Amino acid sequence: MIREINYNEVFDAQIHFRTILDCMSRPGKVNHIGEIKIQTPGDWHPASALVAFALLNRDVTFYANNNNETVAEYLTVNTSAVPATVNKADFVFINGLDNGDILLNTNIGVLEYPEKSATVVIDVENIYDVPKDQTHEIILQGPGVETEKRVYVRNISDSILQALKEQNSEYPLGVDVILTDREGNIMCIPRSNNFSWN
Amino acid sequence: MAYVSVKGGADAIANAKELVEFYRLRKRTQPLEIKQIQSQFRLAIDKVMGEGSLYAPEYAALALKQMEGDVLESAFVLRAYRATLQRRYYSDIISTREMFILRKISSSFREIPGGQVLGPTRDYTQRLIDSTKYNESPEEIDQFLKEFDGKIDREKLVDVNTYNKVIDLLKAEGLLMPAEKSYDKTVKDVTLEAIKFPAPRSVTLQMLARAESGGLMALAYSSMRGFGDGHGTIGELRYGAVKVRITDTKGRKRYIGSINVTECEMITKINTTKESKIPYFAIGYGLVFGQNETKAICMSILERGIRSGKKENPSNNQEFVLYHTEGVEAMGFTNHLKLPHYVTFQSGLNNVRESVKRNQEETEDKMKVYKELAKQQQQ
Amino acid sequence: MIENKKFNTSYNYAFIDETTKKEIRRKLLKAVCIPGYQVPYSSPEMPIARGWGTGGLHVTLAIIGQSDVLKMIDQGSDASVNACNLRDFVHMTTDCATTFDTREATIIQTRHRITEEKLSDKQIMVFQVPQPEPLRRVERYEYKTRQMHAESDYAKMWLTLYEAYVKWGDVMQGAGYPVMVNGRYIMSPSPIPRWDVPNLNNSECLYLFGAGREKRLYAVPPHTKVEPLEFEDVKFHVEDFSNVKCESTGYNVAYMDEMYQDDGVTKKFYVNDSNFLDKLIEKEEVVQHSNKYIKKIKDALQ
Repeated sequence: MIREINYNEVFDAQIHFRTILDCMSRPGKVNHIGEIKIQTPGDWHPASALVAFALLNRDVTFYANNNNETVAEYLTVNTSAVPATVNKADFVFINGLDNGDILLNTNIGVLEYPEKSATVVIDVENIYDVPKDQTHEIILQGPGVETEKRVYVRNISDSILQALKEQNSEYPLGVDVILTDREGNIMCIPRSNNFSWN
Repeated sequence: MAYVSVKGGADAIANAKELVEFYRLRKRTQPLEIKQIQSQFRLAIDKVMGEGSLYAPEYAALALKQMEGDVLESAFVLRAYRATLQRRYYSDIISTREMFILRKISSSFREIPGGQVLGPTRDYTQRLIDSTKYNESPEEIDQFLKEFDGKIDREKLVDVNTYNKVIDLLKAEGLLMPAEKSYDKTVKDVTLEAIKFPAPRSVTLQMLARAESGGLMALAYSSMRGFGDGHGTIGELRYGAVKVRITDTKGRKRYIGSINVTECEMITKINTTKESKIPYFAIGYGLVFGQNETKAICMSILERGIRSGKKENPSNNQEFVLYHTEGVEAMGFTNHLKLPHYVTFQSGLNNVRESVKRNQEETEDKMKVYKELAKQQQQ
Repeated sequence: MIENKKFNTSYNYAFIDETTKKEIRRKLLKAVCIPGYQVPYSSPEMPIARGWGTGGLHVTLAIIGQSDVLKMIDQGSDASVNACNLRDFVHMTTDCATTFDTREATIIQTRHRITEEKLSDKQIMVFQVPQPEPLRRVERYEYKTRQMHAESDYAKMWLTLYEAYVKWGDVMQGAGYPVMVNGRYIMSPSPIPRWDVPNLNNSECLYLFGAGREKRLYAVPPHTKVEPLEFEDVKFHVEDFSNVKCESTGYNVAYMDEMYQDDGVTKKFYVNDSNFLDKLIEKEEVVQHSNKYIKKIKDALQ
């Protein structure tokens, strides 16, 4: 299994974290997460792996794409995080075309400790901040968004968006989402935001 | 407003730092050697290690030297240093049953297995100031050590053994209260996460072991004096060396050294619980680094009190006890009062002024009305 | 192989080890996702005393990188002794650039003030928080306040504010005026004066809060609704400096310091924010935060 050597766990992690923080603070904002050459297994997005490298370590658990064992092994080797079932995982990695049912099983925290909930990283084909063909238009409203923010995502299923809406229907309970695309762009939908899509 | 003067902050700090170093050295006495501090300030070091939550006698000695003997400041330095070290392993549970005993007493029985071992203690001496220590010479120390050595019967040394505990006697008789059903056995690491209440026993024990000795004593004393369950009996107090082992990644047990600890098992008064109407003895537990018997005793009193569930006394309230005996945090916050607060104060000032003004206006209004009334009555 | 690090003299980049940094980062993200909610965190010991800005340092050190420019203020001043000490510490362990200029900074760590100068979307403001729990004054136990937040049960808080009004004719809270964030959580803005509180609302920059001793992190993302608690008939108001003027600039639409002179009777006022004051003196262009309270004062002046 590949152990990434191009990744600097001090400085790369810091830069990528700041990118994620910026995206999470400004839902719908599309940021690029860097150009580090890493060799993720299969067609799993390098951007998702970089998000994982920035945030995961031995103290957290994760669930990878439909029990994808190669991704799981890759993450364990490179982050020391521990695989877990989807309902217990702190981080859940799925694909935008997966069935939304996986999302329905994610941990949404408890009222006293709503932060004890999953962060979901979803691989999608493309994320644009201008309208494009064959995309879902996602309209965000809430903290971090001045009035409303429109963002265009290719290859995210209605069932995932529907499931996400359901998981986040009882604020402050819910999950926080990071979308990554093939080009290395990321975009976030925290639970605090209301969204609709066309 | 001198300490926020326009741009002199950095210089002022540098000067203050230099000045305090000057105060440490200005008498030009022989520099204290770390080895000296380590051997002659043994108990101060034990306190520093306990409150500093790091078993490192050399570092504790260094901290004491640097901080001019302030135990709490030294503990603080040690904790800050500890925070820079990565935790690679958790040790296996140490067993005080295999302690190499240096001291062991019980006040609940006249004789205990292995006998009462007084060991090194000043408990039974008169606390008279000893003027002969004013001019202690190396020759005298040599002389003392030589004579002391002469009294040791080397033949007997090999007999020193480990002993079973006093509470084992009570346990064997079935007199000890079984663990409560609600007993939370979860093991947390208080240095890695914020505590949440109610916290499991592991948190209580860790926090108390790291707590400030004086703070623990104040609360434990309040508990004994009338604001708590009263006064327990020391089942056993032991001080000695225990082995520390870790299990490596391949599952092998590795001995990594030994540390000195003081352990106290406090037997408290007979208790009946909701679950059982039979009266039992209950045990409070204390374990601290080095020889710090007062702290171990106080810890055991508070630990028992916290588990008793009777929250009306401050010393029984977990949140109250654990938050407020945390010496390094308490000291920091107390001292932060020295920081400038004039922005905050100005805001309050503004409020009070307005309130006083409103009050004056109201009074004036009322006075006007009264005067008016008085005038009317006169007419 | 375990490295022999006995009596070493070097520390990790940004002091905190990477494991703990990651923990703080994960929790900061959650804090951003749930604005105003207090996330518990490990809060490792720092070589700075508890109560002296350890929480702020944890946040700053967990987010700072090689391209950041740090500004450190205490009571509005870059030169305050503790600000100097903290700035030195961060600089020593990261070699980051530091500045007094509010506009240049990418990270501003502060104690008890928000800068008068408007902050941009490229900036993060980090607050040092002594007591993160706004409900602590009305409920002393943590497990109970947590329940109150969980259930949005803020009746006790409102009652206390109302009682203050009945007694003294105003909600007497000065610094640290409680706010409602995103319509869900009551939050302590840290002991900033009321003057600064409206600047938390609908801001461009991200506000992060670290309470080290109490081991809590929280956040107010940009463009988030932050409302000071007020009643229909008792409105929140900022400090009144309408009758005084800054001794060096004549300006008074800013938070002011009141300085007693050596005679113990006369008082002089100065603009509190040291960098803002400098810019006023140098007549540099400076854009101030705007909010409805400041606007009202400015309108009245014209």
